[in-house]
Amino acid sequence: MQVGHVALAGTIASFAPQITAAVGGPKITGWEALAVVFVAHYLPNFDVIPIKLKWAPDRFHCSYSHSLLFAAAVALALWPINVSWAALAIVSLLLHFAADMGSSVGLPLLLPFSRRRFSLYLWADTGHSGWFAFKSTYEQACTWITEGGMFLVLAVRCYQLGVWPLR
Amino acid sequence: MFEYRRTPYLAILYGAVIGTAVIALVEMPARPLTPVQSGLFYLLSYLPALGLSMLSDPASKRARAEYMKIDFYAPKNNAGAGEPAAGAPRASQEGRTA
Repeated sequence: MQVGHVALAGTIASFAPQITAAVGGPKITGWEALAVVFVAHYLPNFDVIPIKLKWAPDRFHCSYSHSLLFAAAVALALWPINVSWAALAIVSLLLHFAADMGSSVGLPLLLPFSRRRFSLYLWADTGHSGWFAFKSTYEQACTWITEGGMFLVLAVRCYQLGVWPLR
Repeated sequence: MFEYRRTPYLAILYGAVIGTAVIALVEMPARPLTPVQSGLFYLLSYLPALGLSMLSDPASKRARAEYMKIDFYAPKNNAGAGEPAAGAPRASQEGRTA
């Protein structure tokens, strides 16, 4: 998933009151929720930075940062700071993994215990960044269904919350 | 992107169905949607609808099948452009789960 991550992160943020209440965390503002969710949701894809800096091979993308251990580590690191942030982060990370599961590259969710990659093979992965990766992703049907669907869900959430469409 | 000319037009039809269903499901009686607001929902419905109509388009299937053969994460120095590296781990080789 590429652009669809924006819609998914926005949708997760729209459920922030319910998520934070479920763990009994402190109330957070809408902007705070948006910031935490967006950073946490995009965190796994920051593995592109060392690749771009030539510190890691291309194959580093969708590896350790897309594992359950990484999600747990981020949540555990945030837990002492703010329980609500930790809850939002783990939900954001797990839904990031779920959104990427359709890609043929597969996610090594069990790293470092197993190198097995999990994928639903809905669309072919065509690289971690760049115009070709972007263009070729949207030549495939399932990306439009999943990502377009996410934007529709986000629009519904915005309507339900009264923030869109503006009158 | 499309082999059939009908694909984007078929998406309009699918989008109308999806948009109608979404509006029927989520519209609140206390906050009825104006025609413009409904139009925005129909416009957004076109995105997944385009994907649905692309499912029956050979160009989309061909693109997916072609890209599936290529390992885009193979080291560039020991493999030809677009060719899978020998023994390159891909999801399909390491463990298919679905």
